[in-house]
Order: sequence, then C-alpha cells, then structure tokens
Amino acid sequence: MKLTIFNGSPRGEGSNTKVFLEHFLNGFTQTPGNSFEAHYLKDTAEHSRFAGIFNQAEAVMLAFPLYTDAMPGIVKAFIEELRPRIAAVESQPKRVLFLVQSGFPEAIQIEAVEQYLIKLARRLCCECAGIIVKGGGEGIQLMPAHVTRKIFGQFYSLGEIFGQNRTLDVQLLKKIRGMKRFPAWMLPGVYLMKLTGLMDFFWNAKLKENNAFDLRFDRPYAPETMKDS
Amino acid sequence: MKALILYGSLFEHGSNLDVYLDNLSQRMMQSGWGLERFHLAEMNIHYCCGCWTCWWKTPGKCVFRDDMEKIYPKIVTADLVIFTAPLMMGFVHSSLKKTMDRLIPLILPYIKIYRGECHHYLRYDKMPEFGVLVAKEPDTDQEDLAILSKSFQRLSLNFQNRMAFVATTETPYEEVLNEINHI
Ligand SMILES: Cc1cc2nc3c(=O)[nH]c(=O)nc-3n(C[C@H](O)[C@H](O)[C@H](O)COP(=O)(O)O)c2cc1C
Repeated sequence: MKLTIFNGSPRGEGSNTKVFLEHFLNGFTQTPGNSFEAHYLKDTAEHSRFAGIFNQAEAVMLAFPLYTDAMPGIVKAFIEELRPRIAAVESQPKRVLFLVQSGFPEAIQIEAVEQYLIKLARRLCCECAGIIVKGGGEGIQLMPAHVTRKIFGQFYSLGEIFGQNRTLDVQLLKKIRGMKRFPAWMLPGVYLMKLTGLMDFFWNAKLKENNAFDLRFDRPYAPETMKDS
Repeated sequence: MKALILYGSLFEHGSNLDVYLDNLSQRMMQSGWGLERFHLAEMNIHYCCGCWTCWWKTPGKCVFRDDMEKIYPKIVTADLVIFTAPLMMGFVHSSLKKTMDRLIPLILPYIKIYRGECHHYLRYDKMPEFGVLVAKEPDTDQEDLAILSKSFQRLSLNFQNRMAFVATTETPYEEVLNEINHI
C-alpha cells in the first residue's frame, strides 16, 4: 500500500506533526511493499497540484496541529481545493486517515475538529480509517527520550498495524488519545500546578533567551499604548 | 457600543450573506451600535507560521506586520466581534480561518485552569464577545451547524468570553439582535 501524506503544519519540516508522523511511518514501512510520499501544505502555491495528487492517491493521511480549536488556515484552504472531488465519486472509495495533535493535553480540545473530519471524509466520498488524536504535542521535541519513548512506540505500533491490515488499532488510539478532561480529583491539584508551572518555565526561558522577558505582558494594541507611540 | 465584523467573503457582492449583513448592520446602527467591517479576502493577511514570535520575541506583536495591524487595535476595544463567512466544505472560508489563527498575539503564553480545562491567560483586560454568522452551502445540514457551533464555542472558551450567537442567513434578524442587545 502507498500512503500519501499531507502535513498541514505551518511549520512544515520542523513541525511536531512531522515528528509523530515519522514514528507512525517507521512502523508502517515494516511491511514489505508499503511506501509513502509526503507533501507540505505550507506550500500554499502548490495546493491545486496537491489536490490532484490527493485525487489519484490510494490512501491518504491528513495531519495537522490544532489551531484556534480547528484546522490551521492553510489546511482549510487545501480542503477547499478538494471540493470538486465531491462531484467526481470514484468506483473505488479512497481510504483517508487523520492525525490531529494539540498543545493542550485534553482530548476535548480536539473533539470538534474530529467530528468535522469524520464528516469531511463522507463529503469527499472517502472511507475514514480513523482519526489519531494526540494532546500535549507542543513540547514533544524538547522532552527527554525516556518520556517520549513510550509515546513514539505507540505511534510506531499504530503505523505497523495499519501497514498490515489498513486499520487503526482501537486500543492504541485510545491510549494515544489519553484523557478527555482532567478528572475532578486533579482540580485544583499539585499535578496541574506542576504541569502549568513547567509550561510557564518553558515560556519564560524562551522570553529571556530573546531579551523579551520584561516585555512579556506588553499590550501593543491597547489604546493607551497606541497613544504613546 | 462597538462591533467589528470580520468578513471572509469571496467577492460575491450581492450574495445572501452580503444582504443579510447589510440588513443586520442597519438594524444594529438603529439601536446605537458603531460598526466597522473588514473584507478579509481583499486584505493582505499572512497565514500564521507558528513561530511564536508574538509570545517570546516581540510579545503581543506578530512577526508579520500586515493588515492584521489594522484589526488588532479594533478587537481590543470592541464589545463584539462578528466572525462571518460563507461555509465552504462545512466550515468557514479559509480567509476567515487564517484570521482566527492570527488572534494568538491577543493571549499570553501562560496557562491556567479555566472551567476545568487548560486555557491561556488573556493579554488584554477584556475580550469582546463573539458572534458567528454563516451562509449555508447547498448540502449544509444540522450536523454541520452543530460542529461549527461546537468549534466556535470552544474558541470562545479559549478567549474566556461569551459566544453571543451562532447564526445563519436564515436566522430571523430579531433573534440575533436580541442576543446582541444583551451585550
Ligand atoms: C496559531 C496557533 C493556534 C493554536 N491553537 C491551539 C488550540 O486552540 N488548542 C490547542 O490545544 N493548541 C493550539 N495550538 C498549539 C499547537 O497545536 C501545538 O503547538 C502543536 O504541537 C503544533 O504542532 P506543529 O509543530 O506540527 O505545527 C496553537 C498554536 C498556534 C501557533
């Protein structure tokens, strides 16, 4: 099977999306004869060519980060390019699968766009092989190997099984998806304080690196500020 | 009271959405609203590139100094922002979606627990309320509208404000005005 990937992260080759995909694909290509090609939706000038590739593909994976509770603008623009496909239903339905990963850890953040994608597959007359939902993706490239080993292992296995029988393993999907919301006992808890504290530490380090720490609460577009400048 | 209309149009002047917006605007002005409308598809607005410059290099300012600079000061002083666009493939047109992505400079990187979920602290004291107005596609059904509404409700949760309405061009004007006049 050949899987055609569309990476919808505006960060393209440097994206967290690509990191997750890599592990999935390493598993996927374990089955002899399986191959893939990847395209980056960040190249918006290429969207109509990409739409052509989508139409010809045997199996497609659309992967992107959550942006303001939905798909990034470049992904929406690409989906609009696919519109003519609705009319041209093929005899052999295409398989599509999706990967959506977000900054926040809870799956509930992704659920609206997940429902959108299930409907999108129907719109495009494709067979939906499933949606991989992964929260807490922003720090993935900074986490130590002993933390990521498990997560990446799950993506590898998911890819490996998909490569064998063209389905996403339900148990693995559930594990990767994690919790829908924080359980009540966690609120307000030490765990969450650690989590937000860790994130704040990360942002502060970055602000300092850029000599912007003192400006962190700036309000460049507040009326007072606009008057001053 | 000030409202900002972010209009992700497709140059279809005279469309249902155009007519609805004109009528709604007229009624809003009659009840004392000041309105400003931006035609997003005709403006120079870059796609967010995910670089976080707006959070850790020039806090509050995007790396792209494009027409969004006209929109930001209006958002932070408005009482209501109406996101409006025709639906296309079941969601608001990309010219509006990319503008929504560019709202990130209005919040801080810092995270808190808000209503039991992770959300960011706001950069400005208050966010305007949100409203959504779409034109349906021929195949739009209840499910599409429910998904749209859910996604925007979440956006509103992220900006910790009230979602005043999610309407289509078939919603009676009175219904929308009723919600707007609660602001
Ligand atoms: C403009 C913008 C909007 C975002 N909106 C959300 C959001 O609504 N919810 C969320 O959990 N994460 C949000 N994120 C975080 C990204 O989903 C997260 O950083 C992701 O891991 C980025 O993946 P990428 O490197 O593949 O682009 C947003 C990031 C950006 C830049």
